[in-house]
Amino acid sequence: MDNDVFDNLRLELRRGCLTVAVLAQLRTEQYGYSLVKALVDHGLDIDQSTLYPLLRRLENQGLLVSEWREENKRGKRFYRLSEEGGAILEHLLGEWQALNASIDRIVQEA
Amino acid sequence: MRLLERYLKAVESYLPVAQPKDIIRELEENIQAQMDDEAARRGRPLTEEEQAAILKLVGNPALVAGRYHNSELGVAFGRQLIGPGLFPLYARVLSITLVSAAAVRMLVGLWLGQPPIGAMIQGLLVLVWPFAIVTAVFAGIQSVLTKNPDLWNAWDPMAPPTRLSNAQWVSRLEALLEIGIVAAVLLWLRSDFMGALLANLMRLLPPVWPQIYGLAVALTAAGLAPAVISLLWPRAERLRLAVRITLGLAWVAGLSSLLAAGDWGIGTATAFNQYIWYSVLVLAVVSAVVVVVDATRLLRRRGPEPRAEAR
Repeated sequence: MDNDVFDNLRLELRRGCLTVAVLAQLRTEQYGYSLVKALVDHGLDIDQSTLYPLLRRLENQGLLVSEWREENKRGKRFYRLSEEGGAILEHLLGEWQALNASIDRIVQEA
Repeated sequence: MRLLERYLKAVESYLPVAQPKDIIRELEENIQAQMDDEAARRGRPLTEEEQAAILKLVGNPALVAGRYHNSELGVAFGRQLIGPGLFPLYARVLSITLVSAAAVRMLVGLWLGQPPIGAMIQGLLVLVWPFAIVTAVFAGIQSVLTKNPDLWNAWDPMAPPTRLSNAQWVSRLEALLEIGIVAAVLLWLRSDFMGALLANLMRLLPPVWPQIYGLAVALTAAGLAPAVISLLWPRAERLRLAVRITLGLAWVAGLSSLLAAGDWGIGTATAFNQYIWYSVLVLAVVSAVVVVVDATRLLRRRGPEPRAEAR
């Protein structure tokens, strides 16, 4: 197996999925590192150097909102899904489920 | 300075201009939370080695900062030539190179009496080569990094800082880039187009100009020396500073001789000659200031060359 080809395809496949996973996880408020742990707990490993900038991009797109707040005497930036982010997440999840069902059918037929 | 602080300063030096403090504050809190978590799990404070292991997991400072730049920009012709991690540095180097090349070409065009619009168009056309050379150099670096992604991890959080401690230790990647850029400039100067242009120009100019041009090319080539020192002996900062000072003095001497030469002007274009004279004067003053700054830094560095900090 050509590892380079596999790595590139895997990267492409994961990119969109990670965004959906992050949006879904942020229906509950989290700060950066707690989000990493939550995703890992669900079996989704993600580089911190990928996740933290992704959070900022999603916030710039209006899908997340954030605020600095103190927890355990330390300031932390908490993120949660915005109203617009919630609506987009619903559409994305619908798309995801349709894709998943289609792929399942294709794989089973093959 | 704590490892985490040093790491954050390294990241900050690569960050986009907007919001660096906010990004660094957030990154600090996240990494600190991870370290606290790990310390609680072990039931004791983390050693420096354990802190360094966490910083390695977060990632190379240049790569981490690169991902904060706006969107996943890159350069691709069919396949990706320059990825998002390297793109910010590529964009910075390319913009400096293109602006410099266009300015030089436009000035030469005006000097030769071309109308301003024609000189501007020529200035834009001549950008093809610098663009191609800089892109090729970065594509080469990206290719090496793609085939050896572990190179991004070939950094040691416990090594002396690389960027914000007055360059006690200059990264090998930066040195390689510097060598690539100087080599590209030299190749450009040696190109057929520039060769023909300069040969024609030199025939029109008083004798001091060919001498200065030869000196400028020689000093640009000699400018590779500090980069080579950084590459081979990254901690030999005093040697690097000494070479930089020597080169700086040579630049000041060359530019001063140009200023002192009585007959260096072109024809009757008095205003243009004055503009060139003042430009050379500014360059000489800037070179002299750089020499003074380097000399001050050299004098402050007494004792043996810095070694890796005690762990």
